[in-house]
Amino acid sequence: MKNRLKVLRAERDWSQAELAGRLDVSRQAVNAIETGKHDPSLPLAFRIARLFEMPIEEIFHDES
Amino acid sequence: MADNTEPKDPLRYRAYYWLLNLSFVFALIGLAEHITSFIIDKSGFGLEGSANLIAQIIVNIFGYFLPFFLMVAKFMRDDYMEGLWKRTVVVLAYAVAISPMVFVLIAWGCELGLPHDSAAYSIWRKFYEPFITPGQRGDVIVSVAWKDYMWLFVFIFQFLRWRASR
Repeated sequence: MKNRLKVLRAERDWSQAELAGRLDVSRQAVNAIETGKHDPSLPLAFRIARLFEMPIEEIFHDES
Repeated sequence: MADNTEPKDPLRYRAYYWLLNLSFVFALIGLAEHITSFIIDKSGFGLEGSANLIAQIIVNIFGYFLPFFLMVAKFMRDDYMEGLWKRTVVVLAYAVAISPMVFVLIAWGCELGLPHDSAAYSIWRKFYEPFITPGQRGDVIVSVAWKDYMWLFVFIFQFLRWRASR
């Protein structure tokens, strides 16, 4: 699954560690999601959507 | 003065990786001791008396009980670690399902393929005999299987973590 997390984070000038702190996950989790190595769970996807005040489908895209 | 330090991950997440690394090291030590006990026919860590007992207790705590704790400590895992944990458990489930068949294949391979007067065959028999000895205590078999699964959990988790980091 592709996502715009890195772009959205950069727009707010947040580091991975800062975003991780806001989402209560580890920096490795943010890095893994940004690089497409980890698809977040639904609860985390909702937390991300709430944090960026966007619908989930504007952040995450199904590659198929 | 501006604070430029990067915020650190919560302690529980960092601690999970520290403890996992620690249990990995002690699982390797335990595995090495287990293998060498079959090869040189001497168990223990090359220490004498109570020092050997203390070493055994330390290896048991960090090599077996710590992985068990890490297996159930959901509160120490974030979303990413939980994903790794789930993949680890899936591989572990496959391993549990396939291990009896692999064990039978290895047993047949060793019994038919190894010369019965060879050193390799005597090492194999030392490993195999507890499983086929009539009256073998069930708790011994269960504890061996439990230790193996704890090792497997740590090794699989570390492997998946290493692979994901590449």
